[in-house]
Amino acid sequence: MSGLTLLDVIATSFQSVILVVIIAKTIRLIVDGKNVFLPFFFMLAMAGFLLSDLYWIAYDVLKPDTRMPIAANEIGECAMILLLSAGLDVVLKDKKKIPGEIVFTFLFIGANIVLWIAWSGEWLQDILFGIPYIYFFELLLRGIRSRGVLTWKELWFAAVMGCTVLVLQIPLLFMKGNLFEFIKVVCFAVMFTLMAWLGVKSFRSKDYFMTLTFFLWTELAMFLCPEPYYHLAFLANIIVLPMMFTSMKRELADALC
Amino acid sequence: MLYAENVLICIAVPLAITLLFTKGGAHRFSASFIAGMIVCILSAYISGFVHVLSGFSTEDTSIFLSPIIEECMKLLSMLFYVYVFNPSGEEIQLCAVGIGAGFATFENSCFILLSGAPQFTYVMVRGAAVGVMHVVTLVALAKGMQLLKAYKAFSLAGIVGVWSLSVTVHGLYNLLVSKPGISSYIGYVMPIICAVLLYVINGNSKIYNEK
Repeated sequence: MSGLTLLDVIATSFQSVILVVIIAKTIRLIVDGKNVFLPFFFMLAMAGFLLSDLYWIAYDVLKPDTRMPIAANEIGECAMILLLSAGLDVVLKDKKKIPGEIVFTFLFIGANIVLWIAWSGEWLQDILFGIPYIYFFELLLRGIRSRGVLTWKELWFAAVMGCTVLVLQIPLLFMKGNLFEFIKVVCFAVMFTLMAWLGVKSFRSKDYFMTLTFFLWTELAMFLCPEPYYHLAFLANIIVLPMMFTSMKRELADALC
Repeated sequence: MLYAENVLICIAVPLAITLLFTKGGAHRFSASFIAGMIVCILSAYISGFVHVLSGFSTEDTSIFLSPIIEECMKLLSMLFYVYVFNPSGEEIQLCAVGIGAGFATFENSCFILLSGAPQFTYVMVRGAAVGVMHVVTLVALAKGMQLLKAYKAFSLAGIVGVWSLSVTVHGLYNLLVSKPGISSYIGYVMPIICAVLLYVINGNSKIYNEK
């Protein structure tokens, strides 16, 4: 097993431990609480994520340094995204869909999918597993807008930053040399600035939709990052998990009030 | 060479006859059991077809493709039942158990006919691990569907989400048992642990509903 795979196994195991703790705490919330709907979906989603992690660890241990013919663990991640979306859909009171938002989510996640395909060549799998992200992002965007978590200026800022990352990823696919290194640094600087900004906003607002948006960005960033940036995004992905639990608990308290 | 269709007819005909003389839960269970066996043979056909089409090795097909195909077929049969008959939560579970048991029984029958049953260990693994796993994934799917219905969130996202969970459990099991050693032992124990967990959840949800 190579050093990188070993690092991957250790990081994923650490994330699994955090997920087990979160699942246990959520089950406690279900047993104690009156409103079990949101924790129930959250628990199922986290179980999906945990299964995905366990699959990843098992694969890395049993078949180290080989590429999966089909990334079966992504089905677990797909379960997580869909179950989080199913919960959000019921929590979200604003059912009004704005065409501009829908178009943006399609284009934004669509561009991500195109980049995944360009990188991996697994077009069918990337399209299939990308679709839930479109639905998830649309719900998040609608929630953030309708609940006024971010101002229009802030929304535009995040959108521009996100799109800049995607545009800068294109030359990275075929460029080499000094210009490649320069664009790479700029691209990942923008990516992690947006990540840090979303992290601060989530921490301050403790809003469920905002925290899930931060989580979504860490996920998308992981898919777009090579080493060592990948592990930086992975670290953020682990940090956001307890934040998601806290914001879910707050959402629950608000719903009961 | 195994004539799976003949095996299916042999097992299904007596069960089909029992449908004439049973009512209520027993009738539903027998019908679901037969449906489970049919789902199993259809899954085997589709897996074989996809195996040839994809060019995957037999091992890769069983690890990566079979869980998706088998769980997809089970989901379709469950969805058919849920949408056509609009059953109650209890009936959904009964149907799931029937389909799961039928699927596992038919698959085990075919494997034992192919390889024989002289080794007790092999028979135990087939029965207590693979067999239980098919029942467990379907019961989990049914439990998820029941709860989605109870919370009025019976949406496509919810159903596919719960289905994806069963596929991942099935895929993880197939991956773990693909290599001999500790991983395979973990794999063999996994379905029984899941069954116990589901039994506890089922008991707790009944108490919760009664409250």
